[in-house]
Order: sequence, then structure tokens, then C-alpha cells
Amino acid sequence: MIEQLRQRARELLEQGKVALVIGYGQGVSPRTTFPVFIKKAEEVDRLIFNPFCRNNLAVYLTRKDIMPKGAVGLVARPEEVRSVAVLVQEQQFDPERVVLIGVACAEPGKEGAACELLKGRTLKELEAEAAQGLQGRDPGRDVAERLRELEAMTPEERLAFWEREFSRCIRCYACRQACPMCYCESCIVEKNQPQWIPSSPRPLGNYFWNVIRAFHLAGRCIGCGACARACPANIPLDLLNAKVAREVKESFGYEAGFDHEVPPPMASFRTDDKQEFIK
Amino acid sequence: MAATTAEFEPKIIAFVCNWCTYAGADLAGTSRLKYPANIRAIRLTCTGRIEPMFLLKAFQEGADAVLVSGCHPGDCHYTSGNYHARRRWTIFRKLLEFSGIDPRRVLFSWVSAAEGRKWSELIDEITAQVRELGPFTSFERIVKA
Repeated sequence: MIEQLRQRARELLEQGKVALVIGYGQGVSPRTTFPVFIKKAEEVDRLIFNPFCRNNLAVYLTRKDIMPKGAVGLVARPEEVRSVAVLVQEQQFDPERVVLIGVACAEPGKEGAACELLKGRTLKELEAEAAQGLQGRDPGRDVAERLRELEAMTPEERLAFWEREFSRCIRCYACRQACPMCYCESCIVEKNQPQWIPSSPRPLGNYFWNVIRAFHLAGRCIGCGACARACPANIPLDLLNAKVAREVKESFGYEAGFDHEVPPPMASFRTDDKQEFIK
Repeated sequence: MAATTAEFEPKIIAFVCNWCTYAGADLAGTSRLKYPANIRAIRLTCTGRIEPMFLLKAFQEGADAVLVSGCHPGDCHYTSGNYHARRRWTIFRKLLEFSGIDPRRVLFSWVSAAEGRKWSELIDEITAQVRELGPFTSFERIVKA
């Protein structure tokens, strides 16, 4: 499988179809991987793919300092495919500029799990593949269980829970940096006239930051979990994201990242949207 | 709840749109309808202009509840600002609830320029409701920490 991946990357670079391939390379131990940026065909052997490839590589597609003038090849797991679908939907770049090299891993994070090259080539085909590939596994069971526990609490108890979780936040913004959807050049957390979100790692600013971060991902988060894995304080950010994603699905029947041609749910509406909460 | 409900006067911040709810509140005034002075109305162009951060900021400044109110669906001065707002609040109030803010402190309504009475009755009702809930001490704890 890895040879096919390298071969495809080599072709793309040799034929001049892309100026850069972004993929995974070997980290300092067998269980760690790093993103690699390949510009020459002879360097494609640096590419690897295994169950420990878990960063969301789509995060680099909106980085002006990394994106070349020409097209870029992206090693894309279902998570990257869905992220690219959202970014294209939000018109962050021309889809022609990103050539997806679809890959999938049966059980991410599990040693020796089977990985394969996906069949599709266009974004449309890969979206369908991603939807299919995700049906087989159930990464959400644990999250659903934890959501149920939290939802069973009173608001006061939940506030105390999040207060405790957010108290570890050091405001490093690793969650933001790891997320492909957090591409704003000027983030609300850095606005200071007025300052909406206090910047020191104190309870109020931590609460505002983590809640607003989750809200800004409404209808956009594809649930890759990169934010939670990047968090040095192990704050369960994936729970907040999952809650918002579920509300978007229940209220608007929408799941992010499976169709780049429909309007984003938070930038569109239906005149008959439910409104039982409005007096 | 330390303070007794008898002494407690809730502070409620209302974010209202210029074209419908503000005019509706104005009508309540010119019609000499009485309603509690617990509400502080902040006039904005449209409910679509109301940022989620506005609500959080109100809580930071000591609000016991917030109200967002604008034109009925179909009546928006800017055609669709209230429809966009409705989507936003559908999700945001659920997120706030999940993050520990009692949804009874986060309120929404449609009040038209002709609904002075609806406005005064609404304020009566929500003031009584928030008075019942008591001061938002759990959030104050976070603000002051």
C-alpha cells in the first residue's frame, strides 16, 4: 500500500501536476508520525502511512506560507477529505489546486491495523468513500456515552464540570492551530478593542474561549479530534464539538464534510426552521 | 441561593432590533403600559447583528438573564437577518446549556412594532421567572475567580 502511495506522489511531482505533496513521515519513535512536505520526486520515500498517522493535514491548505503557487497533493484520510470538503464549501481555495491522494486506515491508533488506498480521485468521489469508510467503525460510541452522562447533570453541575476542565487550560491555542477550520487571520480571541475574551488563563477567559471556539465550529467541525489530541491539558474539546455537531444534525439535518456543493448550515436558513424556544 | 427572592431584583439585558422590538417597547411606553424596570434594552440594527459574545459579555457584567428579541419571521427589515439569527441561537443556546448556563436565563422572542402589549407581558413574565431562579451566583463565581 505504501508503495502505491509513493508511486502516486512520484507521478504527481514528476508530471508537474503538483508542486508539493503533503503527507505523513516517520516520527522519532515507531508510534509517532510527523507531517512531511515533499517537493522533489526523489524524496517520496519519506512518505509513510500507518495507524499512527492522526494529525489533520488539511490544516496546511490555508497556510499562505506553506501553499505553493501551483497545485498541492494531499495525503487524505476520510478526515482530510471531509475537511477539504468544508474548506471548498467555504471557498477557501480552488478545489483544482488540491489533488487528493485518498487513504484510509481500518483502525486508527491500533498497531498493525490495515490501511488502504481509496478508489476515488475527485473530491466528489472521495466524499462518498469517506462516508462509506466511516460506516464501518464507530469512533463515536465513547463520546455518545460521555455526552449522555453530562446531559443527565443539572446546569449547575455541568458548569462546575467545565470550570474544572477549563481550569487546566493554559491558553496555548494548540486546539486552534491543529484545526483546519480555524483559519481566520484575525481570531476573536486576539481582538482587543474591545477585548471580547480575556487573554490570561483565568476562569472567565478560559470559559469564553473554549465555548466560543466550539461555537465557531458549528456545522463545520468534522470530528477528527485533532484539537483534543493537541491539547496539552487533556480538556475534552471533542465533547463540546460533538455536542454542537449533534445539535446541528438534529436541528438542520446536516453533517459537515460530505458535500461541498451545499450551502453551509450556519450561513443559510430555511423559513420553516424549528423555533419552539422563541416566545 | 444566598439572597432571598424577596430582596432580589434581577438584571435582564435585552438585545433588541431597531425595527420591530425596540419600536414595540416604545409603543408599550407611549401606550402607558407598565412593565418591570428590570430590563435594560440595548438597541441594535437587527437580531442578525447580535453576536454570541454579546450574551456572554452581559453575563460577565452581571446579568441574571439575557433576552434577544426581533422581528417575526418574514418581517425582517433586512429580509433575512432574523432567519440567520434563529439558526445561530438554535445552536448557541444548546451549547450554553451544555456548558452549564441554565437555558431559563437565555431567552428569545419575536416582538413586532405593533406588539407593545406582548412586550410588556413578556417582560412581566420573564422578570418573574428570573426572580424565581435567583441571582446567577454560579457564573459570578467564575467572573470573580
